[in-house]
Amino acid sequence: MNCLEFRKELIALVEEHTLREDLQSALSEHGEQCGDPVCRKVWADFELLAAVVPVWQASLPQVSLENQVVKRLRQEIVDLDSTPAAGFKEDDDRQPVQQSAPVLTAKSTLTSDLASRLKDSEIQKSRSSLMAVLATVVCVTLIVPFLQLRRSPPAEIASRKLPTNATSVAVTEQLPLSPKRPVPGVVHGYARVPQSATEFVTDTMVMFIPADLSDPEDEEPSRPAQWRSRLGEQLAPVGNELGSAVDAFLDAVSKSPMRSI
Amino acid sequence: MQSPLRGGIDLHADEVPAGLPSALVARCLSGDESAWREFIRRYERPVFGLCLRMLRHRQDAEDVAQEALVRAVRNLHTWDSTRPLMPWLMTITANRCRTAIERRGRRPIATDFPIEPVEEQKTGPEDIAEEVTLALDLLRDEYRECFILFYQQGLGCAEISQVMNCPVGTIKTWLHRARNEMADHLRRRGVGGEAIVSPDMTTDSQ
Repeated sequence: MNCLEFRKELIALVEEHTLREDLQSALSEHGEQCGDPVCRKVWADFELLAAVVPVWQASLPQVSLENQVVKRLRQEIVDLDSTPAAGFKEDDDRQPVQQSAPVLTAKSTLTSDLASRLKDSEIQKSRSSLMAVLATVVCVTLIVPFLQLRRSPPAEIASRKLPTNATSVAVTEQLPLSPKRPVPGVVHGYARVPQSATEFVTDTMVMFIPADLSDPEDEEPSRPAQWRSRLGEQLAPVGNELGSAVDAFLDAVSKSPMRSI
Repeated sequence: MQSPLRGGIDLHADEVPAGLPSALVARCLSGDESAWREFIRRYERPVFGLCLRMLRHRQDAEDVAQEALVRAVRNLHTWDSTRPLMPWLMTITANRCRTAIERRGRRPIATDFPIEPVEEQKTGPEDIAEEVTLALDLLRDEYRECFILFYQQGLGCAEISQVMNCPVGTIKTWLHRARNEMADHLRRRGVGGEAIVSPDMTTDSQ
C-alpha cells in the first residue's frame, strides 16, 4: 500500500463509518512505518480519535423526558380545546383531554385534529397579516400613480381639449406638486385616501372616454350619480382578484412540509 | 484497533424492519398515548444528546429536547415516510438548538478555556470525555455541529448534509477539519497517551 492509497482508504473509512477487515493490518502497518510524517500524523490522529470518541460518546448522561413531553402534549390539546378554533364544528363532541390512555385511544383523530387546528390557527394569523399588507399595497398602488399624474400629466391628457372649468385639472395646474414640498393637506391625507383614490379612478375614466362616445366637449365632465355609494361595486373585480391571489398563496403556504417546524 | 464507527447510540434502529418507525408514527398520529411514550423513549436519548452537546448546559438541553420532541410529535404528519426519520428529527432538534443559542445570545463555549500544553496525562474516562467536550468548544460552530452529528448521533455525511442544509462535499471537508483540529487540541492537552506524536507532526505540516 502506498501513501496515496493509505490516505484514500483512511478517508473512506472515516466517512463511511466502516472498516474493511482486510485493510486493517495494511493500514496499521503503513501508518506506523511510513517515512512520510504526514502519513504518520494522519494515522496518529485516527488512532487518537478512535480511542477517545467512544469514551466521549459513553459519557452522555441518562435522561427521561417521557412524562414531561406527554404532559406538554396533553396541555396543548387542552389549551386548544378551551379556545374555539375557526372552522370548528359546533356539534363536535371532543372532550378536554386530561384523560387516561384508553380514552385517548378511543379518540382516534386527536393528534390529527391537533395538527389541523394548529394549522388553522396559523392560517388565520397569516390571513390577517396578509390582508393588512395587501390593503397597504392597494392604497399605495392607487395613490402613487395619482400623485405622478398630478405632477406630470400624460401626453394624452395634455393633448386633449379639456374643459377649462374641470375642477381637478384646474387644481393640478394651480398647485403643482414638488417632491421637496409637502403634499397640501397631508395631515388629513390618510382620511382622504379612499376619496382621492376614487376620484382618481373616476377622473381617469372620464378623461379617457373616446371623443365620439362622449358628450359634447364643452360639457363639464361629471361623475356618475351616487359614485361614492358604488365604490364597492367599482372595486369588486379588484377584490375578487386579490381574494383569488390570497387563497392561492395560503394554499401554497399550508402545503409546505417543514414550514412551521 | 479500535474504530470510531457508529455512535454509542443505536440511532438507526428504525432501519430494522421489526422497528419500522412508520408503524409507530401511524399510532402516534391516531392519538395513542402509549405510542407517544414509545416514540419519546425511543428518540429522547439522541435528541437530548444533540441538545446537550450543542448547548453545553444540562437544564437548557432538557428544555430544548422537550420542545423538540413536542414539535416532532405535533408535526409527525409532515414527515415523509419514504425517508429515514432520524435526519428529520435531528433537523428539528438542531433548529431548536440554534434558536436557543441565539436566544441566549452567546456561544456555548468556555472562553477562558486554557489551550496551553499541559504535562499531565489524561487517562481516566471522565477526564477524556471532558477534554473532548472542551476541545469541541474550540471548534467553529459548523465543525462542532458536524462532528456531533457524525459521532454522537451516528449520521452519515449525506444525512448531515440534509440536517445542515449543505452539500455533502462541504460536510466531508468540515468533518476532516474538525477531526484534525480536535486531534491537535487533545494532543496539546495531554490526551492520547501513546498516540502522542512528535512536535513536527502538526496540522501545518500537511
